[in-house]
Amino acid sequence: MKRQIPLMLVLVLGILFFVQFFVPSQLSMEIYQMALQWSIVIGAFAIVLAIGSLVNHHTLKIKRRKEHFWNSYVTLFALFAMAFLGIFGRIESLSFMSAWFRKLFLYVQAPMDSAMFAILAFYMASAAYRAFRARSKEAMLLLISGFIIMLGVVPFGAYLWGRIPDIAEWIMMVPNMAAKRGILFGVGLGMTATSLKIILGIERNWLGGGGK
Amino acid sequence: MIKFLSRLGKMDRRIVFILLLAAILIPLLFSIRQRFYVDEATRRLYDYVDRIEPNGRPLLISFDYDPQVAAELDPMARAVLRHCFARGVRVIGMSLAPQGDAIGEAIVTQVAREFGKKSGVDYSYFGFRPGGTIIMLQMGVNAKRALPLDYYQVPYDSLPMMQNVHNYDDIAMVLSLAGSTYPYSWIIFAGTKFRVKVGAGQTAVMAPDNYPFLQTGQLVGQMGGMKGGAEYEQLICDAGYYHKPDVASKAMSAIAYSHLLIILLIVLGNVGYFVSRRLEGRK
Repeated sequence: MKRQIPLMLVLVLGILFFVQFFVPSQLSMEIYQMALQWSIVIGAFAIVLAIGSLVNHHTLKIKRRKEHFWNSYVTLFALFAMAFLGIFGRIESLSFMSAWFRKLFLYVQAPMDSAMFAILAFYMASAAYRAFRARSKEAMLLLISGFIIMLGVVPFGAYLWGRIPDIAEWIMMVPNMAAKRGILFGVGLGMTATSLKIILGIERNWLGGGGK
Repeated sequence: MIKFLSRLGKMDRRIVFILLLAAILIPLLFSIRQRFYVDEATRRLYDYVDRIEPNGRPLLISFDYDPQVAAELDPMARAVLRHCFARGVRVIGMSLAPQGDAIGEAIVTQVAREFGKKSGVDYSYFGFRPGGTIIMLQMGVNAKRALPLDYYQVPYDSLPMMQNVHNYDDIAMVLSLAGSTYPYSWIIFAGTKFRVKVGAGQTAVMAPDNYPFLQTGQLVGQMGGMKGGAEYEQLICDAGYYHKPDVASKAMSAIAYSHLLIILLIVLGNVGYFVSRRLEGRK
């Protein structure tokens, strides 16, 4: 039963909302609206699960004194401090907490996140220098198109030769788009096939491994 | 000489890092600015926003991004907001990414202050809405249910500018600023299903993914990476909507010099590679 009920729900709701898309009557729209509200509530449960899982993981790490366990104290402190300030800052008499929440986000979290991402530029430059070798004709083609795109998006390209930006745009609009479109068709067909397999109960991985 | 050339392919990575740091910092410190070619996708987005009727249907900007990509996307948000506020176009702000909530609020209030615009009258900011695609779908049926309270806890019905906004029919365009596939979802769940116009502001890495949608018209236009932001800044300055180019235009010089450096490094790396291969062949 543990497996049959979810499978039955997916089959019935899958077919129902498939039909709903093509038959937008008053009744079907009301059912659709209700389902949307339910989805938001179910989504909220996912946040609870995620927080539970994060707290559990770090508490265990601290208890077992694993390597760098002190980082877990920072994570847990940051999680609860931000949640506390964010939730209680909504109360009018405690609005100073909301200001603190905002400051911590804008002046601590945001710069740290940006700094982490910015470091990527250095690794990318180093990787490009080491890995982009014209070992074959295909690699040479990739290199040349890469050069044109890189020059085309910066002012130097147009200074070198006025048509470089046009060629760069052509590369993006024609060969790049042809490849992207092929991938999109593949993804679309794959999504349709997977959805059908889930609705018809052929694909059951989403049920997880527990219970029969 | 040949030995020197063969070593070019084995430069220490710390040297690469220092060279790149210099290529980024020097143009930023000396404010080297250049004019550049405006991409067709950015121009199309600009033209569309430029045709939105002042005090008519509002533009919805969704700040669907995290601080990691804020350097690329914040200038785009500021440029579009300045364009809208200068023309008297009303703006609805929201975010589908949890961290986009505070980013959006900071940008919207900063630009609104520059133009003396009032919350609830000229713009409304709703902050983060959990649910992703569900919110996109619900906005098409009942915007009030999707956005019941604004960021400052003011009910939807108490916001004068939202009185005539019931669903996507009352919105001029959705502009999704994102470093991930949110614009793709907006195209599917808002554009295709509810026929609302969708525009995008994407990081340079993600922008090429959207070209098929630009060709089909499913995307009105797109700003791609720092360059997209800089192009939009240039366009609003040329049209007289704002007095000076902002951060993106300044940062474009750093990007230009770093691109040149990377091209040079790749060329040097290949010279070193071919010379060492020839040397090995001789042995």
